[in-house]
Amino acid sequence: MLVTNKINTQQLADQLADNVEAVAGRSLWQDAWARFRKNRAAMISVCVLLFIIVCIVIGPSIASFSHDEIDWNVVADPYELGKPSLSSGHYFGTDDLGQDLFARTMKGGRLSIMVGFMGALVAVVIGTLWGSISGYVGGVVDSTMMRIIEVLDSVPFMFMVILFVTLFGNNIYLIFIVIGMVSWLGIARVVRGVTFSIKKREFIEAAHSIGVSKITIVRRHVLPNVLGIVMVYSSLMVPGFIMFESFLSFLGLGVQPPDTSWGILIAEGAKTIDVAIWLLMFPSVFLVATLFCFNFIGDGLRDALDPKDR
Amino acid sequence: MKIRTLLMLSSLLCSVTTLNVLAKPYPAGTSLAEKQEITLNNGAEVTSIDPAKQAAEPAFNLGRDLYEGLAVQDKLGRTIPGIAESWSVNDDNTVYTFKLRHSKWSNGDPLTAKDFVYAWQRLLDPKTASPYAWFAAIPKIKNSAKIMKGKADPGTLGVRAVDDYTFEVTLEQSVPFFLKLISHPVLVPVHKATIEKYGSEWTQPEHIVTNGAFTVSEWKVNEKLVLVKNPNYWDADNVVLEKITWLPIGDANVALNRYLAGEIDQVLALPSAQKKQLLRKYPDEIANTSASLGSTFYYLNTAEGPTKDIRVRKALSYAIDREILTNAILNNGGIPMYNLVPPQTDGYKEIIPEFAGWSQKQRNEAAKKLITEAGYGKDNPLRLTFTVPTFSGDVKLATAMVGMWKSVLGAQVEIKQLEPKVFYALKEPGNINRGGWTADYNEASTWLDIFISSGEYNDSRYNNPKYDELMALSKVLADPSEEYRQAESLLINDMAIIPVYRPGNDKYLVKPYIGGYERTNPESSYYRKNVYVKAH
Amino acid sequence: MLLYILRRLLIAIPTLLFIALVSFWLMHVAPGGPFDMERPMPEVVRANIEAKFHLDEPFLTQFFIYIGDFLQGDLGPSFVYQDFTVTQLVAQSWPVSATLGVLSFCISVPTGMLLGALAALNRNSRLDYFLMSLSMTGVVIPAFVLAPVMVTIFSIQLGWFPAGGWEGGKPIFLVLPVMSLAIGSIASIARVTRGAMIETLNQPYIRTARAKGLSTGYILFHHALRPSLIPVVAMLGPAFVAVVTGSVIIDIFFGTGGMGQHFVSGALNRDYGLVMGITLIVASLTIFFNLVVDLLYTIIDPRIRI
Repeated sequence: MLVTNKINTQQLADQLADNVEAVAGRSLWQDAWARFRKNRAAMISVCVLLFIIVCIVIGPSIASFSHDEIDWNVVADPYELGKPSLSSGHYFGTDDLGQDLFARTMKGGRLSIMVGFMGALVAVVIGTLWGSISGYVGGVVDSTMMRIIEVLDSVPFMFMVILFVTLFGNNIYLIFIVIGMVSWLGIARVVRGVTFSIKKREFIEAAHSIGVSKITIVRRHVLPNVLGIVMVYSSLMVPGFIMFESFLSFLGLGVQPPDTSWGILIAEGAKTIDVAIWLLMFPSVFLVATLFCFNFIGDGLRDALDPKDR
Repeated sequence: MKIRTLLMLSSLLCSVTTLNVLAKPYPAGTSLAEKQEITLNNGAEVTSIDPAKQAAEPAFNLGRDLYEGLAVQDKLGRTIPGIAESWSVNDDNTVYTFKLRHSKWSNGDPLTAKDFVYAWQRLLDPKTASPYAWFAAIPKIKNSAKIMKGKADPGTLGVRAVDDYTFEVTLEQSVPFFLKLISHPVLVPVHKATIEKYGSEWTQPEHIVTNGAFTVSEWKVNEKLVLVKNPNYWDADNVVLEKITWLPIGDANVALNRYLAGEIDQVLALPSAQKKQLLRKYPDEIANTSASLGSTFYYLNTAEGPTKDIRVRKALSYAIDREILTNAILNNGGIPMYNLVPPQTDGYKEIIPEFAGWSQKQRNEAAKKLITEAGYGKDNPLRLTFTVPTFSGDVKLATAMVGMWKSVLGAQVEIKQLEPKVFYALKEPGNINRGGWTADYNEASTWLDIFISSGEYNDSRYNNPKYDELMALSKVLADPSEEYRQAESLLINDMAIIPVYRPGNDKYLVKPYIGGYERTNPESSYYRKNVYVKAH
Repeated sequence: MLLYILRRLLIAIPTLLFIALVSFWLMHVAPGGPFDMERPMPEVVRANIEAKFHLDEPFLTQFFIYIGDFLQGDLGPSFVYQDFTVTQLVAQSWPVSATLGVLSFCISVPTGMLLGALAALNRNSRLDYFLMSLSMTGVVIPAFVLAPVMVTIFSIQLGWFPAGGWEGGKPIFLVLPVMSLAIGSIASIARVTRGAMIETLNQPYIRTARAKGLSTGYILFHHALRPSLIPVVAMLGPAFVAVVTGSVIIDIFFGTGGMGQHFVSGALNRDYGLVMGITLIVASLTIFFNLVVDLLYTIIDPRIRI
């Protein structure tokens, strides 16, 4: 899943690289924002996503139970007594240990979304730095850095991540840092391409000749152009990371209870489909809604930054 | 001791006669199915079917069908003759002589005492690197420990083929439970010519030679392992089953699905969520499996940290509501335990500590009192770490226990979960550490030897000279059961462990047309040679 | 061209060595080894086993022993499944994974592309929304939910297909595993194809073709198909490797005995031999398919030079 998504986004970003370049210098952001606002699916997604984020931020504090608290009244027969109900305070029901699913879904959401964002952040930071240095400096540095990417491209990263997580424990920070670290190759390529072509444009040469410092050039001209691509790219990366975390959780390599994530809740819920459908349903609704939102927002951003539709 | 041996022999004679009377494994008049084939789940892929490379249960389970040693176990766990028809022992209980029956290997070669000599020497030879070599050293077979260390030649092992059908074993000292060990699947004979010809690949389906009721026809790792009847087995006339397909399904839900789809004939571990519903829905397919000789307990570090204080240890143990853990959380028939040695252990009378008779309320009161005395309270809560492997069952149980400690003692216990291999390799246990044991043989010392101060598995670091003394004494006594009881009382009074539960009788599902598969053996040693498929 | 292929293959050698060293190192510094069991072995026994598997040698010596054997085509013994060599285990499981992978590809590529093209041609219509929501759902549902649901419906309730097993790849045993694998990739291929197709359909030369009054079908096959293939092809290489090897979930749910499960359980069991073997095979596959994909580009779009 991660792999397909990576390539998928790379293709989109490749197209964008040409486009952004063409509009450089115009009020790119205002244009894009105007168009993004007109995209109903994307705007609704932003609202839903914000709602979900608000939920997971304040959710744990409005829950009647904490996520790792065992309700001893329910434990005896969790699938009968632990059904979702407003009166018992278990709005989403409980799991087989009598732990409140509402609190766990909210808590798990924090983790899942954080994994998505942090993974993307790590990938973007490394990828952007690598790509812009490679593209801007050029020459031997550029070709060396690109060779390294070529070598790393042949590493079966899905395997390496599994290996790494198995061997070094289920530390959640480790997981997303590792996922991020193996996902920056595509972004680095794209950023390098954009930087490379921007560098050659007249306005950069002009800026250069009137003595604007390199740092200012990068900050003023290169970064804004790169940012658009990076945004599209990372918005499409986030759902990939969230799904990868759930895959790791299924294999028992994700975070460990009492900490939880949507992936874990769904993997557990899938085992009790026939006796306790709520255990699968509630976390799935949140996960699916989030993934849909990110995809729509990603599509919306791409359309907004794509001048051909004008 | 002598009387005991005689008794054993007479019970053996009894079993021999019963065996002869009950030639066929099924009751007269049973109509058998045309196709005598079954599919079972082994719960995991077996690591090896070479007896000298096996080290754990899913592998042993197959070993019992593929090879037959000197003795086997009956359905109640009693040792009955296997390849050895009878045996006798000398006056000081150190030299055992086994009379072997005339039997054949699956390729038709005759099986002789030399095969046993070769197999037992091979098991201990350091070059074989058997993970279970130590098993032959437990009964102190002459020179076994030295050979294992590479300090003596495997040829010097105290085993001898007196003639082709007489096998003699010499022990360094009298070991009361020696005969209980000989049915173990690592002590079976192996076929020398095949091993020498094919090396480590001798167990592959196209090469393997076995002497048990079955032999291997196909093995696709992680998919299936197929056994077929061995026509050269000595009792082949009474083996009804033609084919057993073993699947290595680890996930309980997947196994259940395969059962419901009619692809496996027996599902042992029912997922606890579906259990109630399944038992209601398939009343004709419910069967019982007996408790195996195991026990789950938790080591408490008696050498350092807050658990060095006996009051803390007692409070922790009292505050656990074992009824909730076994009935609600595990829901697998487990039985609460307040001591170490399971009561069904052969020739053992259970010790019952005082707190076993209290109500949970009384225990909680006592626990609260103790923890206050030990100086912990609201301002100064007890803080501990609790190390468990990441198996979901262990984590669930630990979560519940931590919840109980929190509500009764106000203790803040942090669960530290370690990936299984990391957990096993752990040298420094925390304050509380998941323990547990399965009997190596049906005798109390398999449990009590754990906690001698030099014990390799003594993760409680329990060090009580009196205990060590009792256990040392038990080794030279003909009937050490009183010493065992005293030692166990010491251990439980010092609360070096938190005993939690032992496996109990559990319900599982089996297709009603499977016969002869009563799961009543206390060591879970099952043989499929008596299983048959009824017409359906 | 030949020179290019040669150069890529030459780079492959140090790459593989690098991957081998990293994974070998990762495994050996990780806590816990293949012989740490629930019940620890006595020291003596452990020493004997470690000597047998060269675990008592220094790290680099072990690595060179391994590489030496590897160069002679010997992947060494499995540390856990001691009755087999790694080569034998791979020989057993590789055909399973490859069959599943190839079949699910043969199904998902045409289906996915067809759906994607349909959606692109009817952009922003109801059909488009329907297909795209469907495919997004397909992407989003985890395989570990999909597989048991399919088993419950098609094996237990309807009894159409077996719930698991491989049986040498008899067609009826393939249906559910292949479907479980294919649904996810149909969905993502459809999404990529749609995007690429829309991009292509907006190109001036397509508009010209339309203006000339050529039929949609003709335009689709003669003008739009080829360029739209590029992103799909870009997906294929890595996705193929992922399908062939990453079928862990399929192996777990359907008991097919493929390579994916070997890798994961190998890592959990610390089966150094098995994990190294599979890592090197997958790495070689990745390198190979990256090369194939790059060569395919030049065939599809002659403007691309390498």
